[in-house]
Amino acid sequence: MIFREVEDRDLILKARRGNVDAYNLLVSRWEKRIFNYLLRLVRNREDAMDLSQDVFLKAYQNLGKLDDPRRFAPWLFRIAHNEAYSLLRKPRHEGEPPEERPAPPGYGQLLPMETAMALENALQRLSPEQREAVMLKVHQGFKFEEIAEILDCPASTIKSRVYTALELLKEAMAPARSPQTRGAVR
Amino acid sequence: MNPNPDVHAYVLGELNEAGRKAVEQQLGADPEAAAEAARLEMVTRALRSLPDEEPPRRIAFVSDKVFEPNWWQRFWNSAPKLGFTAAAMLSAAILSHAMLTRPQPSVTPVAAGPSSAEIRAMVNAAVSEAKLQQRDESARLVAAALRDAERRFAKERDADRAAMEETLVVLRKQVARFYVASNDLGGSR
Repeated sequence: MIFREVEDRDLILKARRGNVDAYNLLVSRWEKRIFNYLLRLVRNREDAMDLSQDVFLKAYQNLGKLDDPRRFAPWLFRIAHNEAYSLLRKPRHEGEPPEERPAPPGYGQLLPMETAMALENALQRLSPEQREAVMLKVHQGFKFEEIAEILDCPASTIKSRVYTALELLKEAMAPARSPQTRGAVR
Repeated sequence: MNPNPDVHAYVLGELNEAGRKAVEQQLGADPEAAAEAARLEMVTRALRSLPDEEPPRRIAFVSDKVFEPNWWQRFWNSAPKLGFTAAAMLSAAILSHAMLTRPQPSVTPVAAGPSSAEIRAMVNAAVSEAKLQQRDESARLVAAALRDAERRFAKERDADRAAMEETLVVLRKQVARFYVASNDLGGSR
């Protein structure tokens, strides 16, 4: 992670000086994470792809405004978050049923299929804010203050959302042990 | 049922060394809390292991044609922009100085212009005068040429006359010598 940050910082400094290849390399390093983050927010592959394109274009145009290259990752995810919510606020998306998300081919390799499906179902029962916070924290590995920067809200709020989401997921993933708590996941 | 918030921080790796040891001691002493922490760890491991999809196509690179900057952006990102900016500022300063310090031209009333007929008459008069001048000049040149020719012919005529007179004098002298010689021959016989 540290090496990645150092390499990213170097690439950002080069890209700022007009080195397009350095920026292209940055895109290659981050496109999969950004695409999957957006896919979880908008739940539509084409929209996630279009948004990813917009995110990297905006990031390129505003790279000079990034004060600290070490903050590139939360800065990039903040752009992605804003782009996704701009799309979701448009009338076309209000009340539109999300695309059914089939299990990606990685299921069954990293996680047992049953566990992965149970986790996906439990995630969908979280509020969007809880889901986004816990995914940014655990799946993407951001610090609380970085998530606060991405979502533009206090770190204490983020911490509360993540802890609550973890509790709800824990209960949802342990049905055999405490069936009476299954209905607690809202 | 909710464990101590420090257990969440412990599972998420947010604690420092001292905090981690404190929670581990707490969990060691409380099997139920340890079981809750284990379930939380299982959830976080599962979340970290969620597979990511490959994007259906690659993101267009900024070097692709669609992102190619226009001529102005290319120029503005090029090295000479500082020189261009300096030159532009200098030009602007010179122009503004010239505009601000330029003397105001004195306004003189302009009489009403001649009519087109008057202009035509003026043009015709000018053309006629030019024609006359041209004709006088031609006549002067012809006269000068005639005078030169007459002078040259007069000189040649005088030279011819002088030559004929000399020739005539020589002939007369020869005739006189023949006449004297013939008299001498006739008298002696």
